[in-house]
Amino acid sequence: MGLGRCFDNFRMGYALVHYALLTASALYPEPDFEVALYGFGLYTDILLQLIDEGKLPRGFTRYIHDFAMALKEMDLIRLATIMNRLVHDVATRPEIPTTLRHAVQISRMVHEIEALIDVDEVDEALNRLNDLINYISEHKSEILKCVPEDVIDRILGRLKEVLELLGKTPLPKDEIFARFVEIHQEFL
Amino acid sequence: MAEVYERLLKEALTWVGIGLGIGIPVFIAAILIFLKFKDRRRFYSIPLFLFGGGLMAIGFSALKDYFEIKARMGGSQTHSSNPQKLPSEIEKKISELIKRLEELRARLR
Repeated sequence: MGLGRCFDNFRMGYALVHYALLTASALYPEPDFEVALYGFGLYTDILLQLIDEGKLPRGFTRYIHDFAMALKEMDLIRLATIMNRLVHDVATRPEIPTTLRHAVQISRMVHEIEALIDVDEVDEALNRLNDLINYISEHKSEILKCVPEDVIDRILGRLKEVLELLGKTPLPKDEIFARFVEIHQEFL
Repeated sequence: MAEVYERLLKEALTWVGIGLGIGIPVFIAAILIFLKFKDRRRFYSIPLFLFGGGLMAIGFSALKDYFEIKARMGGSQTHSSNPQKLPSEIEKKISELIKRLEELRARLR
């Protein structure tokens, strides 16, 4: 499998978590059903494609059904629980390709850092950033098999900029979130 | 999130209303029956004590939830205000992480 196809898989894993979170975040403070359905549609497409390609087990279709039910009831806590179960399942099942595992984990951590900054939990966000750096360091050889070096380099560069912005007071959230948008765009 | 808190607040207030609004009068009626009658009619107060007491317990528990949600709402509001100066520990953490990121970038190149 060439780097291109492998990178596509990585991008799909990253996007899966991204769109699941986009769907959930569209429900508050004011529910925006257009965005929620857009996010849910993409989440479903990616999940089904990964199942069809045999990258995820057939049983993962339940994550579409459960997610839809929680969305229908606008139950944020259930949506988050389903998300966590999905991430945990992808991370712990040996039959799932490593590329997908890394993509889902990295996506989860990046989004978690972004969410923590959003609620001014800077200290906790720094801890998660530390976890992300550790994770990339630990699995760098596997990640580099799929993700081009320049992409990783740009992402680390953006994260460095985020760190520099976190040192400013008052917190320049707009600038920080603009960096996160750039990070997400590398994979979407 | 604020909407979720508001919904929970409304729900808690409803249960406070039901629990205390019905529970207290029933409990008072039970006390009055207990004090007024000296014969076997005094036993009629027992189910009223249980019913009123149960409702009051629900009411007080909902009242406790109400104050907890209120406090959490207040807490999330105070969180959103930015501190004027970063604590030195966070500054130290940031510079350490920047150093580690740079090292990682160099290793990946």
